[in-house]
Amino acid sequence: MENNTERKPGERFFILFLLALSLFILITAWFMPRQTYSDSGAFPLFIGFIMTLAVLRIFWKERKIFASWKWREERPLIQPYVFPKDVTVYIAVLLIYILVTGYMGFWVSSYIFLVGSFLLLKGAKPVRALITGAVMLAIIWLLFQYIFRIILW
Amino acid sequence: MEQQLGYFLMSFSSFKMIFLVLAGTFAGIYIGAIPGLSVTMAVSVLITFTFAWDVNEALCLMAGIYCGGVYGGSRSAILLNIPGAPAAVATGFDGYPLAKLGEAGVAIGLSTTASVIGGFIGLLALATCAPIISDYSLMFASRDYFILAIMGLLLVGSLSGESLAKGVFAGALGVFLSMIGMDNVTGQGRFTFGSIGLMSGIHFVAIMIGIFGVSEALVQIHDLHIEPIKQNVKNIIPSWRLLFKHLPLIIKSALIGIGIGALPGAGGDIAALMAYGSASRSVKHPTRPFGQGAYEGVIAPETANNACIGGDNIPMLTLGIPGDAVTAVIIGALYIHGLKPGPMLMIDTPHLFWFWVGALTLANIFLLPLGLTGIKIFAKCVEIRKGLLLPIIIIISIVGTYGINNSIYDVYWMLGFGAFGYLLKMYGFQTGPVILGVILGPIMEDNYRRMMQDVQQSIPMFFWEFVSHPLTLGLVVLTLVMIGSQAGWWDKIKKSLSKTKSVQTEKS
Repeated sequence: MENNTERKPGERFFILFLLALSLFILITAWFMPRQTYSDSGAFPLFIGFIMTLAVLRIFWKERKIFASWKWREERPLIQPYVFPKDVTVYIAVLLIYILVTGYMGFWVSSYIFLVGSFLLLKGAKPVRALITGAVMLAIIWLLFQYIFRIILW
Repeated sequence: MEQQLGYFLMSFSSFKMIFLVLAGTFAGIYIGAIPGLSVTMAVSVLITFTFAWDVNEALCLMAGIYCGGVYGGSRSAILLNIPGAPAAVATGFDGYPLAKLGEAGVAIGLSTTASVIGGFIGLLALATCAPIISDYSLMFASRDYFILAIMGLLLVGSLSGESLAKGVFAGALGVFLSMIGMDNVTGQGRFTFGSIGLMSGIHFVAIMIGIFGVSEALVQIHDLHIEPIKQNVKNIIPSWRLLFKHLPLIIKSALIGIGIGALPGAGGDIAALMAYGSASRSVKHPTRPFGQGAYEGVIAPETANNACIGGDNIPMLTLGIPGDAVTAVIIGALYIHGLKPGPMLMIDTPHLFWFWVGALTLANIFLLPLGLTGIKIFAKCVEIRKGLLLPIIIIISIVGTYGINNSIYDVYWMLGFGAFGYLLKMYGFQTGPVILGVILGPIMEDNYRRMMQDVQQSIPMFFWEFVSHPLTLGLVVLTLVMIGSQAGWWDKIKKSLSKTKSVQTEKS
């Protein structure tokens, strides 16, 4: 089952991050009340322990793969593998969209986001993007207003 | 009996409900077929939209999406060699070679009829077994639920991923997320870090949409450059002779699907792979060698994954333990609509059980005409550019998440989990166990606490509970065997045993 030999750039750092997260959960759980085995801190401690053990197991299992990486060789590969340009730009667009929605309102910001996304991800040419964005929002408005009955901000 | 039949036929009696099942099945087929859109994602997004709906109507739509989505994955597996859903992975092994041989129509026809027959056999098993198991489940104690929850979590982690440790981590992460907020027993905040907003926890729908919807959309951005392939399909309806010839295989695969589905944590993907494996070993004269376009290689996995729907629903409805990620999401939907899947569901709300079975049956009926028609429209849908599709998924995810509590904070959480889920996927972690952990976490913890109180906080007595009751012991042994058979050390033991045996034979 555990026969993964593919080298993924940056994996060892992500696993290190998960180890730090697991240890953080374990330590936080340690300080929770646990006078008895059924107290509120007992189960979180157990789960934190399992998470830590699982991450350590991943490290142990893939130690040879991780050790085979050289920092100089790995560093230039991390960004193209995890955060290629399209993904990075899109995440940034998404963040901006969420942040400005409060100021611009849902409909205006969503329209700009949709049209911008279609163009960015090469889903449509400008005119088609403008029309598709408007049609999509009209469908969302109809569905949410009359069928799902959800008020949008 | 008459009353149960009345509940069963409820969804058949209203035009609106029939329409909702039909629309759900139609949408499910296309959602399942488009690579990148999973049925789990569709159902989780849908939950938020059906908040204000009548329970029956919401269940009708979900039943349709569920059935259609499980089936729909096979179409893109056959036409593009890209399984639309994990349950269709095995279908592509022979379905795509068939398409390359110009027999895509036959493959789609066979997959549709096999799915429908498998679906009916699975639902028959659900209708007959669930009431019996439900009666029996009243005898289940906290220790049994605790073991079942662990079984579900470990099985999904071990069977569906590239690494057992990664699966276990993902499951435990889900359990951790379920613990954030106020402890229901003591009223103390856990992992809230003094934030009042976190006392109510993170809404599991925000986690689900983030983990399944947004993360998948981000992963799909990597494949934007892949141009959609144009397809030509004809000769859809398979002959009766062909169907009768493969009826024994269909029944056998359906039974595999039901059996795998009934196990907590094991879903359609595993059922399909096991049915494919079983067919490749047992069919002596396939139409072509397996892997090169054997009809049997399409029939077996497609029958099993749809039969698995009935199997998956058995532990979900009778024990409250989800069979796989989709049923974990559906359990969440049922909770939102005020229902409590588990032993009391059949006692408190038997009408809902029979209504749900009826809606699934109706969806399965619609699967046949919808599956055998509209292939040309389907081919067009599969050809939709991802650059057009992904922003729409993102916007629907955002709107759906906002709709939970009309709170922008839920959207922030959803996007955060989307980014985290994306990283998990990029580094080979399965996201299904995270959701199962979120659903199973409270079941595990509540039953663990009850057990501890029953044994007066004694650790030796706690472990003694697992071996001193035949039912619990049976579940423990079953869990250990299943997990063990997937772990590397099991093979080592088998190898060393066979070595010892051969040495002994040589000596004698």
